[in-house]
This record gives sequence, C-alpha cells and structure tokens, in this order.
Amino acid sequence: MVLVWAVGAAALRLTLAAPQRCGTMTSSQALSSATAAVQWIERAQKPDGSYIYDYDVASGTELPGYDAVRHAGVTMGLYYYAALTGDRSSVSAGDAGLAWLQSNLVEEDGWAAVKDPDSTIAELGSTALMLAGLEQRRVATGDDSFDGLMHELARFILSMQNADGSMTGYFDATAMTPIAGSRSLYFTGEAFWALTMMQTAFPDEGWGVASKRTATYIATQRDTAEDVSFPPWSDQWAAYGLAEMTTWTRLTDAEVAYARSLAERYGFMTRYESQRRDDEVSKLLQGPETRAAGMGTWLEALDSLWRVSKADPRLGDITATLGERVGCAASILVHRQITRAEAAKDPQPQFAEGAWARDGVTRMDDQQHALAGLLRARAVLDSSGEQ
Amino acid sequence: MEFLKLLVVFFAAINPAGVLLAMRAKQMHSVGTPRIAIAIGAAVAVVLLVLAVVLDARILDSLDIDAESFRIAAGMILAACGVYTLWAGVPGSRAPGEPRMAHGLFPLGVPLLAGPASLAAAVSYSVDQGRGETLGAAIAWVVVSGLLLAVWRGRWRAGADAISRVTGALLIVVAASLAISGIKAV
Repeated sequence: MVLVWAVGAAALRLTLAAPQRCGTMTSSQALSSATAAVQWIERAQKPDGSYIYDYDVASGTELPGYDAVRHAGVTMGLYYYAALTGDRSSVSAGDAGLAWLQSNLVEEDGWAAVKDPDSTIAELGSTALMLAGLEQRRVATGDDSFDGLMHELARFILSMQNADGSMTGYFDATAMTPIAGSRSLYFTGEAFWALTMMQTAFPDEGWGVASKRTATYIATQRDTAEDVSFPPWSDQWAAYGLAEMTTWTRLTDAEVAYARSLAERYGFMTRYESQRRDDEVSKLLQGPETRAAGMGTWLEALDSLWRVSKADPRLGDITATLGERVGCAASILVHRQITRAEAAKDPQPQFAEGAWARDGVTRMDDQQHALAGLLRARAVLDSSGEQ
Repeated sequence: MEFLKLLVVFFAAINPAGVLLAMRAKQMHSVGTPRIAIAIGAAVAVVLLVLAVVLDARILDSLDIDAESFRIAAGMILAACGVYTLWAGVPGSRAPGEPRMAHGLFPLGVPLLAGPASLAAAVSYSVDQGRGETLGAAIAWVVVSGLLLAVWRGRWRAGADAISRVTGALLIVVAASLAISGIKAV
C-alpha cells in the first residue's frame, strides 16, 4: 500500500501536480524585455523592409520562408511599441516594414489589400494587421497622412465580411474576387480587432456596426461554424477586439460569456505552461515549452481580458486572478528571453540577443507577440504592484 | 448550500458503507471492530484531516502549485479512488484477519477514513471553500462512519456493497466536477 501511494504521489508530482514557477516580475522588467525584442526586430530588418523570418540561433543561419501576415504583424508590433511607450525610435523601422507592405498592395475601387509577393492570393489577415499597424502608428505619431490608406484597407475588410459577421479569409487577386467559403480562424479575429480600432479612430463613421456583427459571430457561432475541436478557439485577436470595444460600447451577455471562456482557456494554459521545464523529463511528461509566438499571444489575450474585466463589472470577479496570470505569463516569457550574456556564445550574437528561441530556432513573430504582450502587461503589473 | 455540497463530497470521499465492508471483509461472524480501535481510527483520521485543512495553503506553497492546478490533481486522485471502489466494492485496504486494536490505525484511520481521496479533497476544498465548513463536513462523516461501524453486525452486506459501489460512482462524478473546475478556473 505504501508503495502504491509513493508511486502515485511521484506520478502526480511529475505530471498534474508538477511545481509551478512563475517568478517575480516588474513593469520595468517587462519594458526592458520588450525593448530588447524591438531591437532584435530592428537588427533583423533587411534593406527592402522585410525581416529575418526564421533563424537558427545556434548555427547562425537564416532559414528559408516568409509570410506576409507575419510581416504585417511584426510591423504592427514596432508601431505598437511606439504607441504604448511614447518612444518613437521604432517608427522608422516600422515605416520600412510598411513600405514593403505598400509595395505588395492590390488596389481597386477604393479598397486595398496586401498580397503575398509569391502568391496570387491576398490574405485577409495581412490586410487587417497592416491596418492595425497603421492605427497604432496614428496613435504613436499623431500623423494622419495614412488615413486614406487606412480607409481603403478597412473597406477591403468590409467587402470580405459576410452577413452573419463571418469573414471570407482569402481573395483571388487574379480573378479579383473573394474565394467564397474560405475561412481562417486567425484572420477573423485580426479583422475584428482592426475594425474596432477604426471605430475608435473614426467614431462618426459607423465602423462599430461591422465590429459588433463580427463580435457576435465570434462569440456565438464561430466555434461551431468553423469546426473548432476544443472551443473556444484561442483567439487573442478577439480578446484585443473586445477590450477595444469596451472603450466605446457595452458588451452583450454573449460576448461577456465568451470573454470569460477565453479567460478560462488562457488561465489554464498559463498554469500548465508554468509547470513545464526545459529538460527531457518535463518534455516527455508535459510536452515541450510553448514557443514565444504562442505564449506571447496568451499574454496578449490575458492583458486584454484583464482590461475587459476592469471595464465590465460582469467580469469583475476574475480581474485579480487575470492579473496574477498576466504576471505569471510575463515572468515566464522574460526569463526565457536570450540575454546579451547568453547570446555572446552564438555565431551572430546580434540575432540572438533579445530573441526567444525554441529548439534553437527563433521566428520573427516570437518577438512580435512577446513584446506586445509584455508591453500591455505593464498596466496590469503597475495596477497590482509587483507580482 | 456550500456546506451541503461539501457533505456530499466527503460522503463520497470517505464512503461509510465502504468503510464497513473493508473493516469486516474477513470477519463474517465476529463481533466486529473493537470500539477502542474505532476511536483510535477516528482520532487519527481527525488529526490528519485537521492537519490537511490547517496546512492547506502551506502544502500548496511548498509544492509550488496553485489552488486551481491542485484541483485538477485532486480530481484525478478522487477519480482513481472512485474507480477502485466501483470495481472492488471497498474504498481501499481491507482489515486483515480477526479484529485487533491495531486495525484502528491501519486500515481504519489510514487510508479508510483519512485516505488519498478525503485528504486531497480536504486540502483542495479548504483552500477554495474555507477551513471551517470543509473540516466540519469531513469530520461529520468520520463520526458517522465510526458510529455505523460500532453498531454494525455485518448483516445486509450485499446492500452495503451496492451502496459502496454507487458511492464510488458518485466520487467519480465529484472528481470530474473538481477537475473541470480546475481546468476552467482563470
């Protein structure tokens, strides 16, 4: 009997009841970490405005591949840094990234969309994130010279929106027509967030109507309509959008319920991640550590949902817990970031420092999502003091 | 309402009918467990349950695990105990041989009255629902189990077996609820 208990306890200790280490975290640490990530992106930018996409830190080699959606996201991240910190040093790199996007635009009848240069398909997500980036640029600089382009991008998003609020994901740039029935679980949330920020930026133009239509779809229909196996779909973009919506409208009960379900999902993922270790036993029993592009999105979502809970009393009961999860996720991210000292041993330290790598490889959106999450986490950390 | 829920949880975790069967598994016609052994078993169980409740947060802190994650682990423990009871008809070790005073410590005190299920539930619910109500519900079933054991003469074993197995099923339900609440907790 004693042996059974001992084996059982050991099994639990190694699996479900593994120790959690969230560490301590301050707002200034979050900012330093985000700044290091921005500086990695700036160093990784090429003359044409694109970025190193996939990079093997240990061997110092760039891996093949590129993605316009992630390019738009990283560019948005540079503007986001400026918007949230007031430090405009990242705007010039953002503008170079923006120029790359502008060189890949498809334009017609008052709308514009981003097309991957190696494809004939325009993806809704890259257009939405380009718009989100311009919205952040506008906040950061006060410059309204891109307002016309913003409206063109937003009109493309509207043209891809269906009556039920769902979004057609892909546009055939050869036939110049949306690909009917195409969907992307990522693009819908990205488009939703971009539309909510259009309402904030241009409150008299009615962008909120389209925003609410997609919010309702996401909250009530998407998981079923798009065959999500374990609902809700982990959508940090939707969380961003809901947080933005609370600044200009009251969420419906369904949206609040959806926000709560997202919080439950991200809270669990964060707790589980905090039990993982970068060792073989943990990898075997609990799986490998989540890459920063994933964990960063969790932090972005938790940050956003914390804002929703602060703004809406119906979620007030989870504000404190969300704050704890934000502190935990942020501390995990910061402690996994490659420091200058750690980077010194790599072949090209400038492409290692400030990055997050898993299995020795970093991808540009690892830095984007982590920095965005950490920047937003500062408000939570400041609100609750040191975690 | 919460106390009633805790009474259900600890009824399932301690399983009075299963305790009776386990203590008389090999004592078909004997006089039963000595009352002094029952008192020892109940006292040991109460001490362990009090320790679990009083040290609840410290136990979790020392394990570096938060309350929500422990709920999941506790749910797994309860589920395993429930499955065993459903299968075997008793919630743990059976009393060996003829009644002896030593049976009060083992198996009555540990693991029948204070076993993996009741102790894990005590730590988890104490953190989430409060120490007083948790301890009250747990001790109530320790006392009830002890009283039943003192007066039971081994009749209606088939009925006790059925109740014990159903209680095991109930423990699985409680376990699922606990684990899911841990998973869904923010």
